[in-house]
Amino acid sequence: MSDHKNVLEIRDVAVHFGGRGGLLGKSGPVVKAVNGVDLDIARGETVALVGESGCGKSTLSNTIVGLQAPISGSVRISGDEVVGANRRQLNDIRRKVQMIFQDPALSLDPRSTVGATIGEPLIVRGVARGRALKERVATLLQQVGLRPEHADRYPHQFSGGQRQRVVIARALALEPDLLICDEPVSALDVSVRAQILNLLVALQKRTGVSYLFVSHDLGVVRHICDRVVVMYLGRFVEMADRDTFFANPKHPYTKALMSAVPEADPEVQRAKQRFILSGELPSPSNIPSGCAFHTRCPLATEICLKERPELTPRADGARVACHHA
Amino acid sequence: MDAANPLLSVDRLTIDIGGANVVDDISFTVAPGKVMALVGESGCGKSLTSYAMLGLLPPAAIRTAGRIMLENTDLAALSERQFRKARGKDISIIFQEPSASLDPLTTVGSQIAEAYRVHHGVSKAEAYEKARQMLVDVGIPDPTRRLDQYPFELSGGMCQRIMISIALICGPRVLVADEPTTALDVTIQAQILDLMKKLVADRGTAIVLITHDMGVVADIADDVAVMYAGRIAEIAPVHDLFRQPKHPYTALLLASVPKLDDAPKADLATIEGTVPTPNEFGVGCRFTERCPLATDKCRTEQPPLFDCGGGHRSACWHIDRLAEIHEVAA
Repeated sequence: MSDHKNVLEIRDVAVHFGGRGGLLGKSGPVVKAVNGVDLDIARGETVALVGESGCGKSTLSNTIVGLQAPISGSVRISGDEVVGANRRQLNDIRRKVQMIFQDPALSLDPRSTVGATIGEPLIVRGVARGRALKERVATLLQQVGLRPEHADRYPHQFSGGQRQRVVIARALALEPDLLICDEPVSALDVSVRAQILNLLVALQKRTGVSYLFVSHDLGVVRHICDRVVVMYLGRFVEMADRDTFFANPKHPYTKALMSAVPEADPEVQRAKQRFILSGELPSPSNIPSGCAFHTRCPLATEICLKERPELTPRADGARVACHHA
Repeated sequence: MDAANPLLSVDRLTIDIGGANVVDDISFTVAPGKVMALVGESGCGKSLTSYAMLGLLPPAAIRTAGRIMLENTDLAALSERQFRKARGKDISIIFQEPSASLDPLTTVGSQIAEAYRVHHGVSKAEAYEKARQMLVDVGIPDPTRRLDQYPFELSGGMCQRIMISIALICGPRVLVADEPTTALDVTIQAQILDLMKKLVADRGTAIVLITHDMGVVADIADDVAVMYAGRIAEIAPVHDLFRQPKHPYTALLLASVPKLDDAPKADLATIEGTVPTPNEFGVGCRFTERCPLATDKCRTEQPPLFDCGGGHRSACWHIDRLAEIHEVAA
C-alpha cells in the first residue's frame, strides 16, 4: 500500500451518456448520470453511498475503477489520476482498487476452481507462482473464513455466502487500498448477511483497507460505515459522519429514505413518523430545474424550482444541499 | 389470530420433490382483512406453499397430504379446470418481479380488463371502465392515459400497482403476495406496502405475504409463521414474535439484523453454517446442525409445535433454555 493519506479523491466528476446521433441519425437525450460530485475517502475509512436505482451510484463506482470515462473532473486513487490514464497506468492503478458485486454467482467463472480464480490476479501481476502462489491462495482462503482445501472446488459446490467469501478473497489478493462494495450482502440470506458483514469489518481491522459501500439498506449502513453520502439524480444531497447522519438527518430526501426503510421491530416501525414520498424518481435524461428533488419534496417552494442548492456545511459538520433544511 | 373464523386454512400441507418433504406438515389460518406472513430463507418452502394455494406447483412437486380450505372449498382438490375459475376470482397472486409477470406486447388496460372479462363475461367497454376505476383505487394518476400504455413505459413501482390491479379486479377474498416489494426501491416499497394495508382495510382481503424481510413483516403482518427447511419453526402474532421469539432460529435471525442501538462495527450475531438441502434433512429437528442449544434428542426426534399460549407455538425441544440464545446473541 502507498502512504498517500486519502485513498480516494474525486473532484467535480460528471458522467453523461448518449446525446449523439443513433444508428438512424436522430440524436437522443443526454442522460446525466453523475453531475459534479466531490468525495474523499481516508485510509481505513468506510463511506456509504446511499441512493435508489437510477441515482448514479453504480456509474460513479464504475468511474472510480476506470470502467467509465467521465466528461469532466478528476479521480485519484492513492494520488494517481484515473481520468485520462493510459492502459498501462490504469493497470497499475487497478491493483489499488478492487470491486465486489451483489450476486457472487455472477462474479465467478463456473469452470474455474476457486483456487484458480483467487490466484489469477497474482499470476497476471507476476506477484507469485508455483508453491508461493498456492500458499498465498491458502492464506487468502483462511482470511475469509474458508479452508485451504476449498481451493480445488468449483463455485457450484459453495453456498451463496461462501461464494461471496471467495469473491472477497480474490478482491483482496493484491492488497488494494480501496474496495468498492456494490450491495455486497443484498443477494444473501439474512442469516448469512451478518457473517459477511462481520468478515468485512474484521478484514478492515487487519489490513486497513478502505471501503466505498454502495447500499440501500440503512440498517447495514449504520452498522458498518464511518460516513454516509446520499445521492439523488447524479448529485450528493447530504454528507455527514454516521452519528450525525442518523441522529439528525437534514435533507428531506434523507428523511424520506429513513422513514421508508422498515425497522425489524413492529413497535418501532408502527409508531414511526411516516414521511412517504409521492411520485417516482424523474428520468436522469430530463432532470428537473433548480433542486432536482423539488418534484417530490414536501418542503418545495418557488426558489427550489429556480435555484439549485449547493452542498453547504452545517453547524454539526454535515453538508446538505437544500434551501430549507 | 381469529382462529374461530378463518377465511383460509392450510391444514397439514405436505409437498414432496424427489422423495424429500420440502414442505412438511404446514398448517396456518388467515382471517378476512388480516395479513399472515410466511418468513424464511431461500429453500424454506415458503414459495412452494404459496404456489400450492394457487394450483401452480411445478410438475416435480407433488402434494402428498393436507388440505387448503378456502371457506368450504378444498383448493388442493380442485381440477385444473375448476382452478381456472377460482384463480383471480377467489384467490390471486402477485409476484416479485412485476415486469416479468406482465405481457410486454399488450397494453396494461387490456391486461387488467381481460382478467375481469374472463370471470364476468361483460363487454369490453364495461371491463375497461372497471379497469380504470381499479387504477384509481391503486393510486395511479391519470388512469385513462395509463390504460393505453405498455409495461415498458411504466416504472417498476407502477408495474407492481398494475399487477395488484389485475389480481384484485375480481375482488378475490385471498391475495397471495410473493415478495411483492423485493425488487423495488425503498421509497416505492413504502408506497406499495401502504397501498396493501389500505386494500386489506377497505376490502377485507386476506393476505398471505411471502417475504424474507423482517422489516416488511414488522410493518404489515398481523401473524407470522417462520419457516425453516420446509417446516414451521414458530408461529405467533407479530408483536409476540418480535418481542419474545420462542425458537432459537427466530431469536438468532432477529439478533443478526443490525439494530438502532448497536455499537458500530460490533460483531453481529451469526447463525453458523447454511440451510440444509433436502437430501441432508435428518429425522430430527432440521435446525439441529446450526443450533447452539442442540442435544441428542434434537437429532433423533422431530419436535412438535408446542403451544406457548396466546396463539404462539414453537417447534423446539428446548423452549425453556431460550435465555441461553439471548446470551449467545448478546
